[in-house]
Amino acid sequence: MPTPQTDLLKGLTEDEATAVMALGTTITVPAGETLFHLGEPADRVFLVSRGRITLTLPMQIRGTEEDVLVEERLAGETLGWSGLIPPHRFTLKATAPVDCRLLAFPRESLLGHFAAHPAVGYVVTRNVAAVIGHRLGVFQAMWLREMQRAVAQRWS
Amino acid sequence: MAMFLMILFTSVPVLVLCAILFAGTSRRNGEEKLPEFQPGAKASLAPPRFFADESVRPSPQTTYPVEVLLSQIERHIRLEQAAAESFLDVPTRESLHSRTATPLMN
Repeated sequence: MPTPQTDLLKGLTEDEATAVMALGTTITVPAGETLFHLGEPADRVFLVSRGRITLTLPMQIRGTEEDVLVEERLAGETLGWSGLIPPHRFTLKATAPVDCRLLAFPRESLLGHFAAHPAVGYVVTRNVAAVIGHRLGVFQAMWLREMQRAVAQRWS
Repeated sequence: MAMFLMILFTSVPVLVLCAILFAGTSRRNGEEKLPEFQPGAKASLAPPRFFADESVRPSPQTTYPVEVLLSQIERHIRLEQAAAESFLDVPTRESLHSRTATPLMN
C-alpha cells in the first residue's frame, strides 16, 4: 500500500493522504499489457503500487515504428498527470514490462475532493506540478545536450 | 530390301527422339514470357555511381538487428537522463555537458 511519502501525496497529513487514497481504485496490469496509449483521452491519474511502468514514444527505425523508452515509473511514483492537466490527453504510451498493481484516481473524484478540501488540492496540485516541472527540466537538459553535440558535429 | 529396312529402323527412332526434344524446347520457350512494352512504365535505372561502389560500403541497416539498435537507444536515453538529472541536482555548465559512455556517441 502506498504511503503518504509517495510523490503525489507528499506534504499531506496521514489522514489527508488516507482520504485521497480512498478515492483510488486498485487495478492490475499484466506483464506486456498497455495501460494507456499516446493521444488517448486521460481521465485518471495513476500511482504505481507494485512493479514498474515504462513510458515510451514511437520512433521510426528502418521504416518501422518502434516504442522507445522515455521514462520509467516505479512503486510510489505517479504517472498520467494528463488526467488532471488540460487538454487531458496522454502524451506518452504506458506499458507494464512486469505484472503491476496501480491505484487509479478518476479526475472527477479528485477534483470533487479538492473542491471540498482546498488545502489538500493545493498540496496535491503542487506535487503534480513538481512531477511536470522535473520532467521539463530533465528534457530541457537532454535537448540542450543533443543540440550541443549536433552543433559540435556540424561546425567544429 | 534388307538395307532399306535397316535404314528405316535406324532413322525412325532418331526422328522420334528429335521430335520429342523439339517439342520440349518449344514448350519451355512458350512458358518464358518476354517482357512486354508498357508505354506508361518508366525504366528504373540505378543511380549513377561515379567514384564509390555502393555495394562495398558498409550499410548500418545490415550491420545491427533492430533489437540491438533499440537496446543502444534505450541505454543512450538512460545515460542521458541520468546526466540531465545530475545537472538538475547541481546546475552548472560542467554538469550540463558532462560526457557519458553512451553507445550512440562513441
